[in-house]
Amino acid sequence: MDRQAWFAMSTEIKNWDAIFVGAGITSLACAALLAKKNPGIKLLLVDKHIVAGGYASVFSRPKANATFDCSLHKLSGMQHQGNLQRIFEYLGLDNALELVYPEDYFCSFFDDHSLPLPNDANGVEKLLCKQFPAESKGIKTFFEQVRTFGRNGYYQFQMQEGSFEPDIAQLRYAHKNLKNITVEQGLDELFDDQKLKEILAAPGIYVGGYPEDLGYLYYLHVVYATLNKGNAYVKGASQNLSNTLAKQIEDAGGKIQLGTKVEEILVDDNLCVKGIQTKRGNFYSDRVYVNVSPHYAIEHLFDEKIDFTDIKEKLRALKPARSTTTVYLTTDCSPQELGVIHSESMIFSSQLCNAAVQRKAAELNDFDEQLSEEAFWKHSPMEVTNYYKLDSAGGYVICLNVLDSIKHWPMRRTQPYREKKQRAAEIMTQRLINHVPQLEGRINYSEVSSPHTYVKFTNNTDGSGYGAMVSTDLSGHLFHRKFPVKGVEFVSAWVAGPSYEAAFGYAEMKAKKWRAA
Amino acid sequence: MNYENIFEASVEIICDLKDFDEDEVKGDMTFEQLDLDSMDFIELQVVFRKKFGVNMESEVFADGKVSTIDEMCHYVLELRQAA
Repeated sequence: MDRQAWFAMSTEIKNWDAIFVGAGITSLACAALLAKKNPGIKLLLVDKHIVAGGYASVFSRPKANATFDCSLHKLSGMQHQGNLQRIFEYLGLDNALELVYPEDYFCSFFDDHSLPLPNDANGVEKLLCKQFPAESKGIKTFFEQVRTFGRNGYYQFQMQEGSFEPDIAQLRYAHKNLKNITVEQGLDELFDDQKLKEILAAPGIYVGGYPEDLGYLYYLHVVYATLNKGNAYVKGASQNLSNTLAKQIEDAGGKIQLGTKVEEILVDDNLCVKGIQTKRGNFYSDRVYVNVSPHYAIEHLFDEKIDFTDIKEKLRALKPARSTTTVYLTTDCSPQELGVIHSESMIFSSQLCNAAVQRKAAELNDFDEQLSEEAFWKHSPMEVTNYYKLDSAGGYVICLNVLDSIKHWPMRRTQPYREKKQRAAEIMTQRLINHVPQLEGRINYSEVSSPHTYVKFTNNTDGSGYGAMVSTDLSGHLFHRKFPVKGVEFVSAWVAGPSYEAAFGYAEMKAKKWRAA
Repeated sequence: MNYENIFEASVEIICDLKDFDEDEVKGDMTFEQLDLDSMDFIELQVVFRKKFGVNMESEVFADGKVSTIDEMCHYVLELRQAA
């Protein structure tokens, strides 16, 4: 359907059953679940970007013969009884999509050796006990914590609705003793070996936090989700998943309007939502799901006369997770031939103990540029994904990722910004080459996405790709309670938590509550 | 099971969750005053289900229909009576 025909039809529908502001993965999942459960439901998703999916999207560089995936490659919970696997089966995505199950969780690279971790929890536990025999008691305790407390956190949506009953004593112990400490503190209590601590803390990169950032109890659930419940990659990249969901929604009669910025969420005099305003016209519904950063939504999407004093106060406590700086590379032949043999690697600095100290020093010095580049780019763990190994159709693609801060980046479209991107590419690429020397001279394309790039495409606060930081302070996470505008609900990583699994799980919970509100 | 039983149990749980003394917890205290976070609410839901056999819906907390200890106790009592 062309744009004019679509617009003519859209304006004929005076009242949508629900409108989604933003067509990110949580919106797509929620709308697909609603459409499946409620045949005939009229759903409208509106996004300013030209493709659906939010971060779960790709961009192509035909001259480099490459398609780059913007999203994390690891979909957790993809084994039997995994939450995501279950929802995929319900939506028929397990048949519609081809999944790749990597053999390694990731390979750890230190200066003097590398250590591939198998993609199962028992295997990792055994391997680490063998590699770090003096720490075996702590390793067993850690994985027991993952199996009990991590598992309880993993099934929290089911716990809320009563289909999963935890042991109350375990729950109480975890909430009293593990919720209020950071990953750094939790691992320090168990271990002395810095290399081991770095390996165990590394999956924090999947949720946008360093060990000093993340709450330990929450983190145990991240390990449980990604390691104990299996992980997979979608062939055709994240865009394939997003497009498949989009097709399900449209096949069920819903509409996805891309390239359309929502200018305002319309509210009546009784503080009930009534629709949205866009440059293509107004669209009406008494239920609007907001799939954007709450800070952005409050600041830009509502009439300034609405009193959001309480919400703004709560949002001050809702800190964004770290943003990322990503270097997208292509090589002139298969990355495996050049020595990048694992689908995912974590490269650790030779100055292991200094990484956290340097990050804290950078922050204390107002994110001084030089200190920040040293801390985030040179000495913090760098994740390397060999996308070619996961799906050769995207080209000879490797991505390098570090968690970063927008605060030391100059504004886009300035010379200092361009120079900084160049430095990021050089420093991060060199780190990889130091471990895989055969790559020298074999990289034929390089492109950098900075935290500002993510702001441009998603409006996420400070470019966070993971929503809110899940730290030891959870007070801001209930910002949406007693929201003053009736009919508005938030769906995104900002309320669900980062990861596909959290997005789908939260979307499922929202879809189950349909009509209950 | 009456309101007093539920209130006593609520105070006990909240004291345990947030390290309050029993005499510090009053029925008209809001959840904000109690500084309950999202995990505390989950624990409350689980404990109340086990203790009283009721499923407290997250939505009643989200939309502010239940925002104090008193309101929560009345809500639990209603759920019990409806069961």
